[in-house]
Amino acid sequence: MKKSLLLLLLLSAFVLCCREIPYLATAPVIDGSPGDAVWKKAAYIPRFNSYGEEKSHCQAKVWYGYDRNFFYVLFLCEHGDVKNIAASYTEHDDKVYFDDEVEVFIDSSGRRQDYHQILVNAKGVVFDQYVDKNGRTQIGWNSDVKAVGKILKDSYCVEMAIPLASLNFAENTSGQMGLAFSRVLNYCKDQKFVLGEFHRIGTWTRFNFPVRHGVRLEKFTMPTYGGKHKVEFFIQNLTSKARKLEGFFDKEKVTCFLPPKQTKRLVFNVHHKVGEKTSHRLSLKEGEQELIRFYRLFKPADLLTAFPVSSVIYKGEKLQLKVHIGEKPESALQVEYLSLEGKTLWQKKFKIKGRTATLSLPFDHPEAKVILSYKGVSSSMIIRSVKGPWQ
Amino acid sequence: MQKYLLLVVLAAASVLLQGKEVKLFFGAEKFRPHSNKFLDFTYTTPKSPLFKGKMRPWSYNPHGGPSYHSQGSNGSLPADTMHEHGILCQDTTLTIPCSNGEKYLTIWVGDWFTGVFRFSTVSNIIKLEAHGKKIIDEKLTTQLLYKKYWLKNESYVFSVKDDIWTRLVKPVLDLYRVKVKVTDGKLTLKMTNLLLTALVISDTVQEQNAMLKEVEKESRRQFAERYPWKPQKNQSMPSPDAVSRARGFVVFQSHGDEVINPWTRPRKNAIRDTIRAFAAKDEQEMLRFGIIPLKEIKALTVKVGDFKGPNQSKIVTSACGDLWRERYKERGSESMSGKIVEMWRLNPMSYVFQEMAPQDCEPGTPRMFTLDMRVPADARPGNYFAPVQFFSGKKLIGTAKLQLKVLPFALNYKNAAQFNFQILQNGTQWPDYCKGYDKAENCRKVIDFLKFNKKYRFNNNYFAGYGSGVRIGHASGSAGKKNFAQTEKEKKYFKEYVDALKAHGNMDFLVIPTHVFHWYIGSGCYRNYIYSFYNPNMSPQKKKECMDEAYRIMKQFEDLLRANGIKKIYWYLSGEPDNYGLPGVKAGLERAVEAKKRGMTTFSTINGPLARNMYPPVYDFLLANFGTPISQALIDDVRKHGGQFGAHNTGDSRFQAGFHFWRMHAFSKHQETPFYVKFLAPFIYLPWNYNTAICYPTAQGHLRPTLLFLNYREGRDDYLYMHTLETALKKAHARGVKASDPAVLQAERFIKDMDSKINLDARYYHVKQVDAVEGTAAVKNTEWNSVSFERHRWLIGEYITALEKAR
Repeated sequence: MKKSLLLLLLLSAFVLCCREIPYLATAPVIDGSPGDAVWKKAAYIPRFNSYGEEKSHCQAKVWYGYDRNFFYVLFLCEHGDVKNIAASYTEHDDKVYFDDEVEVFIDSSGRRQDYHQILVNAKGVVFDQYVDKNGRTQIGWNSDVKAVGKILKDSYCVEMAIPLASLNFAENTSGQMGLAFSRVLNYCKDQKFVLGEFHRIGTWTRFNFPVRHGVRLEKFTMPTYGGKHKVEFFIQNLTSKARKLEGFFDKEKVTCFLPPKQTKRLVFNVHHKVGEKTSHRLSLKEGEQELIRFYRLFKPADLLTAFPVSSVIYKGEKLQLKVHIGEKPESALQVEYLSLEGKTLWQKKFKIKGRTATLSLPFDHPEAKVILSYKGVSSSMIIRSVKGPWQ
Repeated sequence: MQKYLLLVVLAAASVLLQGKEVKLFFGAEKFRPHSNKFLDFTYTTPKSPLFKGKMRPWSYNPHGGPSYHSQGSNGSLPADTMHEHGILCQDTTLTIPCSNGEKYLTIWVGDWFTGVFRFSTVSNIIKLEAHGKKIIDEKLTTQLLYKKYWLKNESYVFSVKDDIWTRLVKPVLDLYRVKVKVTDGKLTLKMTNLLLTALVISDTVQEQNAMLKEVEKESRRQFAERYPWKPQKNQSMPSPDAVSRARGFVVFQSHGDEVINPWTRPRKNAIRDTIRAFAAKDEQEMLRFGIIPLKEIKALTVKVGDFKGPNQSKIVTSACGDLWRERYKERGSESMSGKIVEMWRLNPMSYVFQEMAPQDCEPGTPRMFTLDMRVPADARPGNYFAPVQFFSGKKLIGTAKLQLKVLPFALNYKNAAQFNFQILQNGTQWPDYCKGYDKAENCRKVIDFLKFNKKYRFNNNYFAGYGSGVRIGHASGSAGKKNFAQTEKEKKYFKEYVDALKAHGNMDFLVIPTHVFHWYIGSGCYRNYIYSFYNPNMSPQKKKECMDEAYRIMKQFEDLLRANGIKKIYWYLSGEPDNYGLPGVKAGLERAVEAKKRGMTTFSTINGPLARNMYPPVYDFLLANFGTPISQALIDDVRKHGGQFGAHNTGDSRFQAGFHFWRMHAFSKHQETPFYVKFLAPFIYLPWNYNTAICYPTAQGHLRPTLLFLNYREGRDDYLYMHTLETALKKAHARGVKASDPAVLQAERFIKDMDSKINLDARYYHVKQVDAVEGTAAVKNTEWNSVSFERHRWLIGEYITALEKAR
């Protein structure tokens, strides 16, 4: 009896030692405005702590909560000089950490060794990364967060909805997550935090959290070059229960049956247009709960890039050209020499096997314009030959 | 209470530990999660009752602030959890309960990061006594620091037989094995400034040996997991000809910026027995060559004779050249933090220059040599040849030739941009910071540094003096009313330093970093990284008084320098102010305005958009780095306000020093990064440190270059080729050569082409996005490589020759 009571007390203490995050029955509208009544039901911290020497008395407040599929955060940050607010970065994953911004640190696996960081500047531009157990960062990871930032009279407001399925709850067996927030005013180099310190996972506050253990994206392959490709996802079922997931990849509907303890491969065809910003999104749900969220944003590389090893060569030397084709070559590469007046001096077509190649070509002209063409895309350069020092 | 507790612990422990190996590793209370586990070692912090005395623990923090001085400094992930922690035992006793009898003690000493610098500014004594036995009793002199720390394992070149763990991890910690006899149930260690990492007490030597095997096995396992580096396959090579087969090696030519790894094999067009280079008169040029041994060669050395040229002219190699053998070193980290994330940074590359000495060579691994020649200004143009001899011990095993073609013009240094480096004292940890350091040695080294830079025709534009330990002046008077003053000793040091500047400075102007100046003379105007007049509690009147005082002292120093022949003086009032946000930028602006009121010339370096917008109207000399970013609009802005534009930390590759710098048409290039290196660290030759140590110390405390340094110089010379071309063009015009002259037309066209094809924004050439708060960045593989550099130089040389002949 005494033993059972002791055990019960210990268990209670264990559970009670971790805090709870409020569940929000209604999702806030993510528009960067702090007035949404939903936030009254969220957890609220009115004050942050200084990190290092305090460079500004400006304070920050944060509200946070979650629902079945998202983790919501609202920051309201005082700013002493809104005219000079630092918000110069405009592209996702650019150096947004040099702007005036806010940060969310989440240890979703509960292992206190790896974590995700989502950073948003005052204009809602996002930088997000995954940090592995050895402290190595992977900027390629994207949270697919919906974030809006607004600059107000003497402050800025950032509101965000982070898809829980983009984090790593699948491997969480403890039922707890670590959480910390920070606010950085880069214009005056003031840093403040709450619930735990920057990047120091051991200091973050632990929360009980209903994790969705069991299904994860084990790995994926996604070429980022222009052209047609196959994209693969390997979905792993960590449980001994069969699972059925439904959702979409971009605009394509997907159904995925996962036998117990097995991995399923999903393959999709994509077409990347060179130079155009491209994104891909995979979302898979089990019932109403989203378990997998994958998002990538990138600009497919140029279809053809080429440069000479040297644009000045010695007479008698071969002209060496480094060629890179942004897809598995499907057509021939044409090389043409033109005189400066535009007359064709030489031309030839080449079959390139791999994506990169070094061409070694004859060049018997004092000067010529060299044009390489592949599928209508051209690259040109002026090449000169001179009598060398050893001739 | 603590004593009682200790007794209880000892008593209990001595019973429990009967016959059990004691294994402890040491660190701080705060540590990276899960890192406090290493096999069955017990993680022990200074809070343990086993310890008594003064200690500073440390544990690896991957997100700690970058700092050489920080105990929790970040950097490369240590090899294993044992290497992630340590305790600096400053004045400490460690009492460990154990059974009586003979004990075999194993102690790991050292740390992954700062090494002896953790304490050497405060004390230069290291002691370790184990149970009454003296194990270490060391006084850190500058000579010992050079020999034991800077140059640890320096004579090692490379062998594929030594795996990466043996090369890079094993040498970091020193291992001590000691036998003691315990009679009172406890083993006591007394330590002074000992970097204690781990300790094991074994009962037998067999147990100790078994434990060491386990420790090594675990360290290797963790290291392989953290750094899954694999060497690459050997490249293919054309079949050696009969001559090569007979002598047992292939000779090939290489270039300064070619990366030679142990698996590199030369291409067909690089294999030759005549190594060739061309150079202008008064130019310095590298001839880099190597061998691929086809069999084992013992005690290999190389000798190069004199260069013999046209009409019996001669260039004496021993007087005009330095012959180096190269040793391998891993590339190391890119940024100041020392972090290595990409495994290719652990690829060994032939890079560090050593004095010629015998080395044993295994088949396959390239062995590289560089002859760095200084072509005399009066050398006769033409082809010169020098014999190369290869020896195995005393036996001559093969020969080759060096060909140096001297061009018919001299490189023009006049009115060229000044290339300078981070001053020696600032930001580095030379042994002179050690407690009780030798002042004379300190002064000698500073002058040595000036001479070193001058030898390679670099410019010593930055004032440093001898540092704060050897003053060249001080501020005298009551607070608010101080003036610059000198004692007789300070006058002597000042004169010596200024004379050295005049003799070896090779400079057109002197830049005085203002905060360094105040620091070093101890004026009190700059303390704890803040100027005295920025005290927020100060009244406006008091602030004015402080500012007047600071500037008065500076002006007095400036007048003294002028009286001693240093005429052009620029006050470096603001450095990278975007690092400090808007308040920092505004403060720099204020200082410039104040300086200009007093007739002083203002100088600053910038690295961000705030200063980019605010500084051009105010600063006379403004140097920017690529984070600013550098654009034609910025350069025009600076010039529009009558200022001059320069390059600050724009990179240390040949291209960045050379053609890319030329494209900026700037007055100066300053590169801080060469000396951002923890010289005092015990593993300076390893990649875990920020690897822009482009100069290395010698055993005698002098400097020697690395391949990177000479490459940087080659870049500077690429710039000088362009400068010489532009000068020749101006002279041709001045002589009245027609604008339609082919020599003029081709030169103008070439300059215009170079201007348009080189992208001013350096980020275009970077391999990946980098933070430009500090430092440099690796450049992509583009048209700008050693093949292209040589051909462009040759073409420029042809154009210069044509212009000089044109009438």
